[in-house]
Amino acid sequence: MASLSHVALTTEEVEALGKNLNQILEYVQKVKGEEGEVAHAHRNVMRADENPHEVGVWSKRLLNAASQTDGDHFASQTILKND
Amino acid sequence: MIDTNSLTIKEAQEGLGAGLYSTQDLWATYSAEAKEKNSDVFAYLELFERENSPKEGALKGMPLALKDNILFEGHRASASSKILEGYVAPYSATAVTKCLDAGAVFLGRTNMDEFAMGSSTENSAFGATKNPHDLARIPGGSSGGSAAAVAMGGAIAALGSDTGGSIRQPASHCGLIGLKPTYGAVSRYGLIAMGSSLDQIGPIAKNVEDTELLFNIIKGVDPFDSTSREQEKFAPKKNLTIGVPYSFFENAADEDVVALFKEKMKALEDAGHTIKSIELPVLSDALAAYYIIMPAEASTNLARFDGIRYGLSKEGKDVREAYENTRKEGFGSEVKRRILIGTYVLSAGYHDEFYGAATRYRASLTNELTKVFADIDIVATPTVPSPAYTFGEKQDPLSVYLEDIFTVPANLSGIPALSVPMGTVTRTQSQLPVGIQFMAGHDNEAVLFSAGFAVENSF
Repeated sequence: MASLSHVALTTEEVEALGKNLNQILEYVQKVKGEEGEVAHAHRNVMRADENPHEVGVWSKRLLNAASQTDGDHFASQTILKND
Repeated sequence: MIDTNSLTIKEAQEGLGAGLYSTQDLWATYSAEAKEKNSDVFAYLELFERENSPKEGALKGMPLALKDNILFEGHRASASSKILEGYVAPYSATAVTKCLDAGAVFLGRTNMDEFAMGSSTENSAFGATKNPHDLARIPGGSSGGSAAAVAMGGAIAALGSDTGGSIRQPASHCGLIGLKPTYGAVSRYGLIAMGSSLDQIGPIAKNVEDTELLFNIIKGVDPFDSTSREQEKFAPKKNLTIGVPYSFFENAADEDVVALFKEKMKALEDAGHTIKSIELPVLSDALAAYYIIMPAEASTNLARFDGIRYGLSKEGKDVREAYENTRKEGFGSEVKRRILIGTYVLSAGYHDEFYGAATRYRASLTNELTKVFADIDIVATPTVPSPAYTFGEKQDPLSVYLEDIFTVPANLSGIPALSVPMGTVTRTQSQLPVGIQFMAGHDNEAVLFSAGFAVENSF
C-alpha cells in the first residue's frame, strides 16, 4: 500500500500503521453492502475562458516556491527516459 | 479598557465609534495579549507584524486569527506540516480577501492538526496547542489553534476550516461558537484542500452575532471556486421546531453531557420552541462512511506534494524515489495513515466495496436529512461526546476518530451546522465547556442563528 501511495515508510511505521489500519478498515466496513442509487445532484460548472491574466505575471511567484528551477520552468529529475 | 477575553466585534465597533480607542490600540492590545499567552497555549505558529491601516468596512480594525491552511499573500502557510517548509502564499484565499476588504487585520496564523487531519492539534508537526480552559487538555481540532487564540483572548474571532467537525469540535471544547456553512456557501479558493467534497471555511467567534457577521462577509459566489454558489434565502424564525435523535447519541455521549443537553432542550421548550424526539437510524453509519470518503479524497489531494513545485524536497536515485523520500520526511504519521487508507479504499478490487458503498450511503443520508427538514427546522445533538480530553489520553486513532461522530453527517450531506456553548461539565476539578450542535437544511444558516440566539438567551 505504501508503494502504491508513493510514501516511503520506516520498519516501525509499517508495523504501527499496519496494526491500526486493520482496526480502522474493520470499523469502516459497516457501510459494506450499502445498496441504492447514488444521487447525481452534482453539475459541471464551467468558467468562461475570458479576461486572462497577462502571460507570466504569476510565474516568478510560483517558481519561487520550487526547490529547483530551470529558467522559467520547474526542474526535476528525469521522468521519462528516451530509450 | 479593552478586555480581550470578552470583547465582541459589535462591542469593539461601538468602542471605536465612541472614540474610546483606535484600531491601532485594538491591534496593539490583542497582539500583546497573543504574544504573552502564546508561550503557554501555543495557539499561533506565527504572529504577524502590523501592516497597512485597515480598510473601511464592517470589520474595520478587527484583529482576527487565521488557520494555517488558508492562504494570505506574502505570508507563510504550512498546514502545520513539514512538507510545506518555507512555503509563502503567492495569493490570498477569497475568504481572506473578503475579510481584508471589510477592514479586518490578521494577527497571525494558527496551529492545527497537520493538513486538518485530527481532532486535537496533537498531529501538528510543530507541537500541540493547549486548551486555555485547562492547559493539560486538548483544544480540539483541527482548527484548535484558531479556537484557542480566541478563547485565550488573543484574537477577537477567527477563521477555521471544517471537513468533519474541525470548526465545531474545537469551538465546543473552547466555549465558543463555530459555524460549518452549507457546502458551496463560502469559496475554498486558497484553502489547502483535504476532502474537496467536504471542506468549508467558516468562522469561530465569541457569540452568535459575530459569527453571523463574519459568515455574511465571507460567503458568496467566487469564479475561482466552481463549487461556490448563490444561496437560497431563508428568514430567521422565532418559534423553532427542533428534532432530537436521542437514540443516535444517548449511548455514545457522556452521561453529564447528555444531561446538560436535555436541560438545554427543556429551557428552549420553556422559551416557546417545540422539541420533538425523532429517529434517524441512518446517522449510525455516518462516521464509517466519512472515514472512507475523506481519506479517499485526501490521498488524492495530497498527491500534489511531490517535492518539485513547493515545500520540502528530498533527493533520490530517480524521480520516484525522490517523491517517496520527500513524503516520508515531510508527512507525519496521521497523514500517512490517511493516505494509505485512501489509497486502499480506491484501489482496484476494493473501490466498490468501500468507496462505492460509502458514496451510496452518503446519497441515502442526504435524502433522509432532506426529508427530515421538510417537517422540522433543526436537528440538535451534543457537538461532541465528551469534553476536552487530556494530552495522550487517546492513543489509538479510532478512539480519536469517534470524536467526530456527531459532526460528520453535516459534512457528508453538505448541510450547515452550528456549535453553541451549552454549559460546562466537571473533569478533575476543571470546568470544561461543551457545545450543542444545531443542523439545518441546505442554505438555512438563518435558522441556525435563530437557534443559537435562543440558546444564548436561555442562560
